[in-house]
Amino acid sequence: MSQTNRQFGLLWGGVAASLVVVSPLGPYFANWLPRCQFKAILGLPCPGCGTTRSALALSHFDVSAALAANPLATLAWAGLIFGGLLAGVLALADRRVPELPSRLPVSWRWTITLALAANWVYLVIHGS
Amino acid sequence: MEHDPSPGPPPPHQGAGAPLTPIPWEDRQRLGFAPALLGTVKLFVSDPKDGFRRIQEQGDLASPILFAVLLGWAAVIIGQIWSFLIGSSFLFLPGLDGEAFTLLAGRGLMTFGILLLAPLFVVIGLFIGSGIFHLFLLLVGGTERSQAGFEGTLRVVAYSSVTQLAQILPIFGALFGTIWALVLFTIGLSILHRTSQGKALAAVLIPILLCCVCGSIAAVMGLGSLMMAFQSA
Repeated sequence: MSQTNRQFGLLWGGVAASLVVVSPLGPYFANWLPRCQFKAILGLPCPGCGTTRSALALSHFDVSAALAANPLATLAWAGLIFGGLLAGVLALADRRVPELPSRLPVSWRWTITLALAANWVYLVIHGS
Repeated sequence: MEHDPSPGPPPPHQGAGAPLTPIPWEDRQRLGFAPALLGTVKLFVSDPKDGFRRIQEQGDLASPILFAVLLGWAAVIIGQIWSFLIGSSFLFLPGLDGEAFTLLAGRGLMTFGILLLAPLFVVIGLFIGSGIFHLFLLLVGGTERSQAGFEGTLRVVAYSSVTQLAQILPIFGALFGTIWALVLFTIGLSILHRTSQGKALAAVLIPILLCCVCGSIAAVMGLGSLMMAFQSA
């Protein structure tokens, strides 16, 4: 295992562990975030609307509320936390941490783009 | 079959044959901590293309992260000083006489908490921000010729922290720093991932336009209101 790969695993693990540790302070920090101007002006949620609420709901283990707030953001938070904790354990055990591929097949690019679009449509319909 | 018609920049570390000299920060054991930090800041302010060509493509990740933490922390300190000075002046408005000290003490405590937690949030922001930019770089096909991978994006975002120094400017510092950061991200990603500046710019702008439209609109509206206020004054 390369030095970079180990450092990457430790970094990801550290970020995930830090997010878990500071999650009780989430509601406090959320108060500082600006309100969505896209929604304020157009009356429609932006693609990122609900990301903070999904994180706050996940910090209370309320998965259904998190998914309702923003499904894709919930999956991303879960991937970041659980993937990070796993990556940290692998790095500490001197095992190779899986990394992102250097290129994505066109089918994957379309899948991710469509997922982003579908998630936005959901937010608009759901009125997040 | 996809083909990128733009030639893109020359691969880093393969210029005239001889290896490029590392940036001062990655040679700080020889140069010393403070000279290396100042030299790197100067390099990325004056010639970011040269800076990004000379950074390590692979290997030690601790150096760029430490650089980002130091500059990010400095920016938070500067921002808090501005916030404290501007915010505290409002506490001495008529009608707040009795509460001013309590509010000031509370504000001071909050500032201390922010300064204490700032390095942690800098690292979290660096990792998540790099992840978002890298995902969109993958989506626009900007990593086809890359050998740096996600770590390359992380290095670019970390060394672009030099733009945090724009916080020295009150009020407009954040807006100026954001625009400057977009320029550095584009230059850095195109060099580290050996892709065109168009793809690098797309990878940087798409998530900002999609997810941070809120912030962009707020900034433009705030700027417009200020301009109108100045004109009418």
